[in-house]
Amino acid sequence: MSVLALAPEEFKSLVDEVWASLLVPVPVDADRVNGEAATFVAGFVEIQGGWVGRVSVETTDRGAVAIASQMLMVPSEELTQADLVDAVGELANIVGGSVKSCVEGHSTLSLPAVVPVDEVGGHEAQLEVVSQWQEHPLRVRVLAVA
Amino acid sequence: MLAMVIDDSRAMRSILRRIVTELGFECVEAADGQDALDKMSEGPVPDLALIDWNMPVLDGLSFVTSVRENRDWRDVTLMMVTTEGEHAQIVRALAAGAHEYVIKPFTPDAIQEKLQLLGLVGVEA
Repeated sequence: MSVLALAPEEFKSLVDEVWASLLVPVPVDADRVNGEAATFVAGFVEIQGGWVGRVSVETTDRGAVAIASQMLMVPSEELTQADLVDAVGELANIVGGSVKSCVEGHSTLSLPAVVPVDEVGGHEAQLEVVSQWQEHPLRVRVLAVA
Repeated sequence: MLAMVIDDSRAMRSILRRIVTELGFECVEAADGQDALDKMSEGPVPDLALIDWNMPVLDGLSFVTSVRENRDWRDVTLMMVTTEGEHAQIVRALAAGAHEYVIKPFTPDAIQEKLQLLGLVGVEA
């Protein structure tokens, strides 16, 4: 039996804590995804153990550039594709680690992967937080195996 | 004082580098545990290593174990900085020889406080 002891408000608090530690200014809440969600990139990690699923951090290409630029303190024009993958993947890693701490029993966290958002599929969204950072949409989802 | 930041994420290495540099450390980086062991073998040996757990090639726990097996590196202070927050895993890391443990996400103040506890940075008046 899979158990993820994480209420929606706890999940939001956990995501807010990650944003506050890594992004300036802190992202603000949004009612819906602002942007064409199908064009998003997703950094995700997989949790295996008492609960099995994925934690996905999603934004647009331009959002990924802005995030990587801030985390690396490198001008956007100097970033490589590997930098974008690294930054979005690390966000997923940190949020995923926080979610994993809410799974009962021992579980493992995969290394992060970054893909077009529709390739994270095959999973059902259990929890979701939508935010806006500067002009960039951010969505974090907890996806259980369907 | 020399710090080595060991993390497979370049973005996280950059963030930690800024924090420890601000605290007065010189800083080198390694992309995984094996890269860190190779750089330590070549020298200089760092005073402090900030270590991620989940890394390709050689993970953080294996790195800690390897460092503790080498008497020449016994003075290196080892601090895990990782998303791995399970109590049993924290105990494993400390038992293997890590001195301190910080769970991501962290604030610069959290890193500073841990380094103060370790006596590696001064306590502000």
